[in-house]
Amino acid sequence: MTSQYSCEQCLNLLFDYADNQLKPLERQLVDQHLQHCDDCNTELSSIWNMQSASNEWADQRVPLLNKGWGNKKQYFFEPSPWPKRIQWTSSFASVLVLTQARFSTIDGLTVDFASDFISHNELSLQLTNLQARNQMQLNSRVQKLTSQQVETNQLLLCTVLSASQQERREDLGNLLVLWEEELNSRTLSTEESLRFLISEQLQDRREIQDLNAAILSNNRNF
Amino acid sequence: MDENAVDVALNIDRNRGVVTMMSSLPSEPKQAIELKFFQHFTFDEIAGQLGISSNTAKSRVYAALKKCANKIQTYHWLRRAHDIPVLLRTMFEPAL
Repeated sequence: MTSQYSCEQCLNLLFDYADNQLKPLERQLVDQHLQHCDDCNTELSSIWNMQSASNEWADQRVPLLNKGWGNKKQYFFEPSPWPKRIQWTSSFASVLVLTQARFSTIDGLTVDFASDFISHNELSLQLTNLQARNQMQLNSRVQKLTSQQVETNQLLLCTVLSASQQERREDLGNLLVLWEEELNSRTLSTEESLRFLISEQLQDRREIQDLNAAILSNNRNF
Repeated sequence: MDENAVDVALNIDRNRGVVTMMSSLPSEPKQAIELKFFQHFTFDEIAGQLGISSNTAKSRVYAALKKCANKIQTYHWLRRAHDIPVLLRTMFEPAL
């Protein structure tokens, strides 16, 4: 005989039910209650939803930073691993730099490290000289480039012209050969026709002579 | 880039939804949910930490769950929406 659970009892066991840590009998009873209680069902579904959300959470650490010597990794907030000797040398170097620096307030505040002071006018002169030199270099380069371009253009033109001349010469030669062949064939045909005409005329003349002879012999007989 | 840094970036991306959901809650339910679901304490441990009875702790967690039921549903919807492009790609990649 199993007695039904009330909502309160069910809610007490619901977390263990969701974690699958109930005894079989208790589990069966909670199942029976869940079959007809919508409120407890929504509670169970919200527990499950929350659990799945927490499962998707990934724990984070403070990232390691590569601050040490070589490949030794260190946390960001650990003290500096540098030896004291290096700190001393760096501070000495900074003192050296500061003692060698000169300050002047002629054209605003300028700091100059261990070299002669150069006035604004000299600097501007040097700048203009430098600009002029750069311009000269640029001009000479441009001229060189343009002359090279002209030479290459001329070479191209020469080659193109010579090629066209040769083509025309070949065309003319071909035309002459054709013309000669035509001429020869025409002279041959005219010679043949002339020979034919002359032979015909000779035969005609012979026939006429025969006829004349016949006529003469007839006249004598009469 | 360090492998650690890549992991951290991925975790931040994964945790963003949970962070937005939790940050919209008031402090008391937030504490209850964090202790129960994210730190995985039992109700007795929670009761010991907060100086309350175990039953009160349980009812506090239930109240917090009731308070953020809508938010957690939207979190899961957004989570699924985040997966839609991946799903589409897995569906259509063989065809392409």
